[in-house]
Amino acid sequence: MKKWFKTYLPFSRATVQAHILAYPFETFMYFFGMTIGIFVVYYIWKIIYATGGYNLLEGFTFHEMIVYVVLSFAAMQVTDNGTVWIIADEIKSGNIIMNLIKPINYHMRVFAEVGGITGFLTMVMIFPVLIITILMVKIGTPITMMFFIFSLILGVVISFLFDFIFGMLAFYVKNLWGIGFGKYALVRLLSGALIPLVFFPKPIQGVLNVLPFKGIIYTPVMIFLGKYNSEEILINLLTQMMWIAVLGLMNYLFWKKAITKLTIQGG
Amino acid sequence: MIQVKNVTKDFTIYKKDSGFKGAVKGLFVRKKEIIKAVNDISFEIKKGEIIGYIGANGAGKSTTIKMMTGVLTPSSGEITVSGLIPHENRIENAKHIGVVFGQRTQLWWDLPLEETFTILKEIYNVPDDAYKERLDYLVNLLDIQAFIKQPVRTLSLGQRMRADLAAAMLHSPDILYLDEPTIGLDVLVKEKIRFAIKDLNEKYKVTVILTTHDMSDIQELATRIMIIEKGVIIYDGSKEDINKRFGNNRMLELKIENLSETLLQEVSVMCHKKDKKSIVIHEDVVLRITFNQDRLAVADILGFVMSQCKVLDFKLRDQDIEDIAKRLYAGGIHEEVV
Ligand SMILES: Nc1ncnc2c1ncn2[C@@H]1O[C@H](COP(=O)(O)OP(=O)(O)O)[C@@H](O)[C@H]1O
Ligand SMILES: [Mg+2]
Repeated sequence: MKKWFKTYLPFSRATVQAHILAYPFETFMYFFGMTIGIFVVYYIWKIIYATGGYNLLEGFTFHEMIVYVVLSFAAMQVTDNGTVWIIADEIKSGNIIMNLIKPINYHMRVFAEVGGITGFLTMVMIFPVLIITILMVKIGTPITMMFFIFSLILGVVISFLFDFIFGMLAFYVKNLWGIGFGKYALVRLLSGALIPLVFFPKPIQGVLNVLPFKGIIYTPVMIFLGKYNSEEILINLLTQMMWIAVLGLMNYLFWKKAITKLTIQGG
Repeated sequence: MIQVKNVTKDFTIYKKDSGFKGAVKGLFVRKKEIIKAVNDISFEIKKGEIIGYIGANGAGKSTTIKMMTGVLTPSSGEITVSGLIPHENRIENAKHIGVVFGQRTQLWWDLPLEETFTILKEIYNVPDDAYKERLDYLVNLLDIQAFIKQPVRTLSLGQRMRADLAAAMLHSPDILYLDEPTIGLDVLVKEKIRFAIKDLNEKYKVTVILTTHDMSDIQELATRIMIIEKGVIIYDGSKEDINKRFGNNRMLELKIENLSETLLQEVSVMCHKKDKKSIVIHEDVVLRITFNQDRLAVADILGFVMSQCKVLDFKLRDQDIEDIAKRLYAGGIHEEVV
């Protein structure tokens, strides 16, 4: 374990370091963009609640809805971390070879990198936003907070494993841009990043329950909001873990197949 | 140390017809074509050898190296490197090899060079004191000190290549794969890199597999030459024996007073009678004859020409690797194999 950290932590460190060195302005703009995004959605919901005169909408009070918006935004930032593009780029440019000549596991390396950036952004931006929101609306307890963080980490892993499979399509598809954006929009919708999943018609909710995307954002955020009792929390966490196992296995099999087919252009 | 047995690597490419119609058609039917990038090659490499692996663009050099490093899986045949099958034990194999691809870099683009070295130390788990000693040695050898604190993206190509070579050697690998490490470099940097490779080989018995288009790299470094053409290894042996394999060719240059068309014709006929593949050309007053000395004696040519006209000067030259490479790159050296 210690050796494992020693091998892969440098990738996290280097990426964060390079990120800060190369993009200080972008890092700031990212924060700025996120804040604007949250405000836009905040006002939309404010109008919906006010004009409809609702106290509760599908079980959400206005305050809960705001926390949902902020948290799902933050969760989206940490779970959508560019994995697809790192992989697709390296496969397409052939630079993946510079990783394969090293005694490292490629999945681990990519995870260390995106995990590094994610951890960094979480520390400097998402935590502050989160804490301010919680202090303002006074929702959540230390216990739900703990389960939320644990569930969110599982969500990050689910998202990573899914993105990794998606990125490996670059072995077969020349240009991932188009379907990459399609995937992004779809995952946002199906994971509950845009609206809580309870807003979907019942049959669709049934389908969403058997897909992995719910575990990326909806599950952790609902846990935080205290919408689940302890039994439901357990079931949801187990479901997330099951998806990690399934996606992990799919990754293993797909990678094994893709790597023997690997052809590296140029050089 | 390295065994390659009957290794073949096929790539499947899908051909599309040109133009819009072809593109649309390509959506439904794709013409499959199989390229044998490497075709049934076999060789063995011993510890401490420096292999000069040459061949024209697309001959299959990089594909061979990628298979030996375990990045690509052979379509058939067997490779073992220090007892391991590289593509099955990629990670274990990677611990003992260093690789430089001239067109790529393994350095962290946005970080100071020094940082890359520190990261590599951790990835390869190099102990502190061994690392310090090694780094000192490499920094001196490749003259890196001056730019070690600069971000990699600010380095010149020559600096970057030296840094890449150092990076590939930090963990003291037994085998060093160098795929066109001198491409695009000026003479001085090339000199430095050659010196470093030689030093590493002599001091640490590092086995080197080097591809290059620069024959002076080969001349200076290689202890053994392998030539690959269209996926097939057509020569594997010493620098000295190469002439035997590719015809004992020589070139005779004669400076002649009043060189006439008739004379040219006559010399040409005379030479071709004995060596059908001899080449007679002229530039101003210089007559240049390339011939196989097993078939045509220098004395015969000289005697014949001198009986016809006045020779002002002459030069006789053995074919060197450069000539062989030229013919090789021009295509089809095997046609001239005797
Ligand atoms: N990824 C690939 N897909 C299809 N064909 C390839 C691929 N890589 C190499 N080739 C083909 O294999 C042959 C050998 O290529 P390569 O080993 O790169 O040659 P070299 O390094 O000697 O220039 C070439 O014909 C090249 O076009
Ligand atoms: Mg090549």
